[in-house]
Amino acid sequence: MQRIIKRLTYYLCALLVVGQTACLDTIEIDVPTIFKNGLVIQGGLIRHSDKARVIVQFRSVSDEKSQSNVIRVQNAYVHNDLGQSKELILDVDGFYKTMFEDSINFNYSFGRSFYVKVTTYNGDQFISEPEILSNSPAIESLSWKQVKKSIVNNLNQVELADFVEIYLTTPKPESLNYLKFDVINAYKYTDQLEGFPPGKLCYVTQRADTRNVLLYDHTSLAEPVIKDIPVYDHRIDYLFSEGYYGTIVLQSIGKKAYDYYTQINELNNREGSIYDAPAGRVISNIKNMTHPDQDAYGFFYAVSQDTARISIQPEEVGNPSRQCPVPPSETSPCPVRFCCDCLTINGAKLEKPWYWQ
Amino acid sequence: MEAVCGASLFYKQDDFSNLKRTFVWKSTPIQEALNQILEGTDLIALPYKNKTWILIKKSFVDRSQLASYFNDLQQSIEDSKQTQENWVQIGDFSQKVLNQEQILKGLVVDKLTKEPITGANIVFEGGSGTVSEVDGTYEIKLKPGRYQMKVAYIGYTDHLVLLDFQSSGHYGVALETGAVNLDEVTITAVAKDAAVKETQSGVARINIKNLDKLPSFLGEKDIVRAVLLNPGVSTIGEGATGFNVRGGNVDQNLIVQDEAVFFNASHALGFFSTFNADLIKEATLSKSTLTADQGGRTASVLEVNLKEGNKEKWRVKAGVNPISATVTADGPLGKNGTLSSGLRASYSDYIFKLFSDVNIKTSSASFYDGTLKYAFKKNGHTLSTTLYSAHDNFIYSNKFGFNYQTQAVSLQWSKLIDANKSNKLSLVYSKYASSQQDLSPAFESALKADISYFKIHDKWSYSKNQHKMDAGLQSVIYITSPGSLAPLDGSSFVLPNQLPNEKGIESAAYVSYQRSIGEHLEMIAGFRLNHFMSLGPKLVYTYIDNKIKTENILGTESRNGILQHYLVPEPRLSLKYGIGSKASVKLGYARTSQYINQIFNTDTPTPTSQWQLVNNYIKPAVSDNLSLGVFANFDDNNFETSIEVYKRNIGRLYDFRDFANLVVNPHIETELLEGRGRTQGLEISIKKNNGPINGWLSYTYSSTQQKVEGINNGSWYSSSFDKPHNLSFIFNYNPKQRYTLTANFTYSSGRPSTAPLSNYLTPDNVYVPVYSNRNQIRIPDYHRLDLSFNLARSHNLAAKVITSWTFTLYNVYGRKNPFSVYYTRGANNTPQANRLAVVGTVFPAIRFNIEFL
Repeated sequence: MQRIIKRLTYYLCALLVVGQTACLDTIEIDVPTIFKNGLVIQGGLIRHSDKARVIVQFRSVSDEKSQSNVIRVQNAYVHNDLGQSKELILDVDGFYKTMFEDSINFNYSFGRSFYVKVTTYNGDQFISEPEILSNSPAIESLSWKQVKKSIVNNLNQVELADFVEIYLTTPKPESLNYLKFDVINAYKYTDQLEGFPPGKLCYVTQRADTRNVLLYDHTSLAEPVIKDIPVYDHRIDYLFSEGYYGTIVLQSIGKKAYDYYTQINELNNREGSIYDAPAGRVISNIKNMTHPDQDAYGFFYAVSQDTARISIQPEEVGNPSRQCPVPPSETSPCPVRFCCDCLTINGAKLEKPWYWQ
Repeated sequence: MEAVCGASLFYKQDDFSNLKRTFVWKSTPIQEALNQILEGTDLIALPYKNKTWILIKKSFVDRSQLASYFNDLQQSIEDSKQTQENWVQIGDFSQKVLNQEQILKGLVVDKLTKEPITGANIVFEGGSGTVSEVDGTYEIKLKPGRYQMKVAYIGYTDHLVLLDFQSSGHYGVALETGAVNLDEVTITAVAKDAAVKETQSGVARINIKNLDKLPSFLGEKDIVRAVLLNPGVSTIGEGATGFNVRGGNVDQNLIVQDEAVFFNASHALGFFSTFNADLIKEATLSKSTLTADQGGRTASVLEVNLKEGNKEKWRVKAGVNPISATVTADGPLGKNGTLSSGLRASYSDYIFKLFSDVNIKTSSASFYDGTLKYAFKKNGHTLSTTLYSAHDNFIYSNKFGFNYQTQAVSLQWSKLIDANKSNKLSLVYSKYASSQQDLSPAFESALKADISYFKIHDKWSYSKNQHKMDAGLQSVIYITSPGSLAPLDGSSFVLPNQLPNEKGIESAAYVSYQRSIGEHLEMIAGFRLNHFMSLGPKLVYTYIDNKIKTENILGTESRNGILQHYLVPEPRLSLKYGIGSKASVKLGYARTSQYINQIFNTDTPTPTSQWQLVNNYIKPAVSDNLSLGVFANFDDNNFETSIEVYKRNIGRLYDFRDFANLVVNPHIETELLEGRGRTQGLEISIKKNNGPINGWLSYTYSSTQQKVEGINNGSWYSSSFDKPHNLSFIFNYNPKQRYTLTANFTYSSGRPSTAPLSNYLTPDNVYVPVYSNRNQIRIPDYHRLDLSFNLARSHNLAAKVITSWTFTLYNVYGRKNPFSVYYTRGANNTPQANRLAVVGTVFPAIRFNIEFL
């Protein structure tokens, strides 16, 4: 028996040396060049209070496998089910837009449906399926809590870390619509190295990098109020070091739009597990009318939205560090670029946002 | 020489069919004369005492495992004195027709109790042989001549006899109980020329004895890994549940153990099978061209039968390997009963702690299974019952978990009605239940599903002269709970949701008739009539214009009674044309149907993938299976070769819509798309059975495609498990009976997959990959080399404690075979392929067995 134990020990040692089994690494795969170029139409009609705007972007996709390019089109119109239409005008940011202050010339009431019709420079015409505009529930309240969550640290060990988690409460939508959230982070940041006098004060506004489109299927809820659902979390770090505003945009979307975003999330959340569902083509409500056999991509939606904000002060989250280390000497180069120039942070401005108290 | 010199010569007529030589001798020793006769041939004259020689092939003499056979034979001859009276004459000399096969029939019984013995091995020198039927009868075709016959069965002393076979006749055998070396008997469990002589094609009998020698993953010997070595059988990789046979999905295989159906035959999420290899008596895989008594699945049937306990004394056997331990015990229970039992449990959690990946480090997995088989034999009746229970538990990094269990009970009653008729009644209950836990904060929930299976099967067999008939009735009641979702605690946002139970009854009547037509042709013609009823009460969804899509749902109707029934006639035919005694051509056809499918749209079924009965909308799959093969043995059955081509047309199958929602979906039919399939292939197998160097090469070339409206514009596309090339090579080096070095090399083409070709950005700054058509590319090929060294038990037959060892290196060169490939956003937003290799390194293992006799 002693001999068996000894040999098992040898075995365990051997396993320890090679003990790296399930492995994930990058490889090259031959993908045939079989893809036909296509047009992506992305955007929608967004109603907020009594006003509405239509914002649409056009992109071309190709088998170059690189980011799709924003393109111009010959013309683009938004239509409603009353036969009214309005042309979308190219703006400087590459988006085609139009604004509605009232419903006199273009009715954008709840319950109406909307679609876009686009003609490209080669004469192809694209049209989206009609999307019904539904009323969005108003955000009743936002709250937040400091919670502990498991993370994997740099040493590849599991440890608990402090997070801010934001919760939202809203009445359940009356119609069979689904909810989509956008989270916009805004925080103050001063370019100052430790031990040095403060420099500029920046206000940074960024769309939260959530990787996924935040969605909520309220049909699975029995209660009349969607109470305290977690909509966003962020580890407590420099974001909260001088002051933070979280803006939550709540949109009410239709089933097909919900499926569209769910499928995108599903693709972006694939982890290569043996139980991953197979990848597939994300649905689209765009059709190529000139060449019906050719694929068109993207989605045109009609949503109404409500917005709410929540403020978190540094002292409420334990005055987190600004993560700007002390340089070895006064002449040393700046160890972290944004610590010396906060305007280098993406979305940073010197002007205070209008809602900042 | 026999007449003039008084010598006795044992030989096979076939060996001398082309040998004509003339000699004149005077005072020449008989041995020298024989040597002259055999010079230049592959035959040798083996001298025995008292002017007795056996003229056999040299390779036969080399076969170490038969050494004991000759010793036994020699002892027998010595003991009984070598006189003419020792030859037992069968048949009538006047009816003797040389070179024309005659039939030898008989009954094998227990000498003391006179009970028939099922499964006794009847072996003739040269490798021909058969196995006694359930009623103890046996039947074999032989050419007239003199034979040495050996009848063996576990727990009995071998019966050795010299037969002078003149023409068709009977020879009954009464075996005496006695201790014998169990494993030595197992060697001859299947006649060596079974592949040639058997009429049914596509049958793979798994060599249980060799399981010990095969390289295994983490030392766990596994019958499913042995099944995978057969041509036409493949898997999508380590960790995959089940196996694929001739282009069939994993749920198209019926897996039974002592007639009890296993709905999930895997432990540890597919790394090991649920069969306790130490308890298995025999395992047979029937590929696509099934016989009439086999049905319920379209691709294959894997039948595993467990050993009965020893009739004389209790024995205990134990084995340990790095992840599990097994204990088996068997022995007599009461005057006419035997008990066989086994328990296997894992202790693999320590392995997870060795991993550097945090998620794996914080995971845990465990399994156990227990088996109990009781057999009672008296007055021609055999009653046996098998109880089986298996449980698995797996938690992945406190993120999700699975647990699943199988319970099965089978009761079999076999009775011999008279010398020609027998009956077997089987009652089976099995249940498979699974649970998947989502442990994510705020979404803690458990998804549960189960299936219960009740079966009654009555089979009648009739056998007389050259005719054999089987007929039977069977009925299966299915009750499934397709899914229920429940929050795990009060803080979970998940709402409870439960689908109602579904019920169905699958019944079949079948008849099969086997006979010889002329000297060369043999056939089994069969017919099976399947009937399935989908039963209410059930809420049935209705659709606009009967177009089954979520957006077309009109509402639901509550229906009771029989919701839908299906009747599928299934003709079966097997033809064998014998070419000499060592080769045959076989043609097989079978229509098969299936009334239950596993719903999964992942690479491999999860333990909680629901079993879905056919209903109003989901119709049975029907497959027409055809095969044609040539089987030839050479060098006295030392080499077995076969080439088989097959084609399957699957009249109806289902694939899934992109992003199908399969979880607790009350209208699952909206997620399925109906289509058809076709698969064809070529299977080649070459085996060398004997000698210090032996092995097996099997190769399959195949194509498996589907055509489903709604996928890839309705064009044919490769199924997810289409692997055109599949090769297995087993090499055994067996210099001494105790030592075996085995190398196993496996190669298969990469599986089809779906890849992103481009992408675009949404206004929410989220990238949307644009994927290719389904299964349009292939992931890299799979290949792996395993080595094992088996140190078998010692030759000391008097030992009361015997031990054996197996050392294994799995995936010797550490290839990172991709189980799957998925894509992330790489540099410049290009799609980056990522490979998941479930077993990406070499795995050493050791297994130790100890047996108390």
